Amino acid sequence: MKLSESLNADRIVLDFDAKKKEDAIGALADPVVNGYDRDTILNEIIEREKLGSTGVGQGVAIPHVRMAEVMEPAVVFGRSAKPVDFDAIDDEPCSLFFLVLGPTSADAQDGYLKTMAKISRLMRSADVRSKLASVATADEVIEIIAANEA
Amino acid sequence: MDEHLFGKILLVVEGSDMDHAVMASAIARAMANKARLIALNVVDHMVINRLKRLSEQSTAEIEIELEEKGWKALYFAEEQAKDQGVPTMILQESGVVENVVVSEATRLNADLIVLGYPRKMQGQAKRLAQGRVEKVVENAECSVLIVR
Repeated sequence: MKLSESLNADRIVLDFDAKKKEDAIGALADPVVNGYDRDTILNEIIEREKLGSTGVGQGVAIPHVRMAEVMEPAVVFGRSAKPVDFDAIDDEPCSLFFLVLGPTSADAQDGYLKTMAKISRLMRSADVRSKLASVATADEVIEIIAANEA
Repeated sequence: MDEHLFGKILLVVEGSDMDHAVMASAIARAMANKARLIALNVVDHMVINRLKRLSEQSTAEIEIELEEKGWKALYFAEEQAKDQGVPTMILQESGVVENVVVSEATRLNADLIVLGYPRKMQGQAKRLAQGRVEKVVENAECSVLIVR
């Protein structure tokens, strides 16, 4: 499935307020916690972050985790109003985020890995990052991703 | 072996059949040494040029395919390592593999490079891959572990 097809307006959070990493993860998780325990999801993501930040550099972070509680893969795009310290690989704060949640079942692993691979490749483009940093609506986010994914 | 001989281990991921054995070895050593793991994939310029000659794909299409394959292998390595509680970061670069591996190991102050030895390849591909391993061994400033 294309990345743009796994996103919808309900899973795009533009200009959320966050002072620290945990705030950002909370804002990203909110659109997908429906039906799940919010604290469980947040704790799993934060514990995983402690083993290595998912801040991949150039203002981008891709927090991700596979959890038994998650039945369907979920992707959320978020942009913070102000850059957030995410312990990124280049020490730069992040403002563009993709949260990826996946089920733990073996047959779901390939799709989960492919999703993060697509996001990582997409976000290497300075042009894509610049456009996502300035768009005004969720529909524009989806359009930019659709136009630039392979 | 000293329990904490290595503080930072650079794992070279290639997206090949060898990856599982190389990952397992690097993760085991990271656990034994309480070391951080850095998984690195290099999108190889020589492979791009070779595939370009052999297929009808454009250079851009080949690059996208190799980049995504690389990220997928890196995230797989990250997942395996973090499941074992090993602090891990992932990194993708492009260039000449042996040069990038050596320069990144130096830049990141790695104490050990772990990479695979191409036993199953044949012909020119095998010779090229063996040459890469030899150049890493020759030029790296840190220890190198070759997994067969």
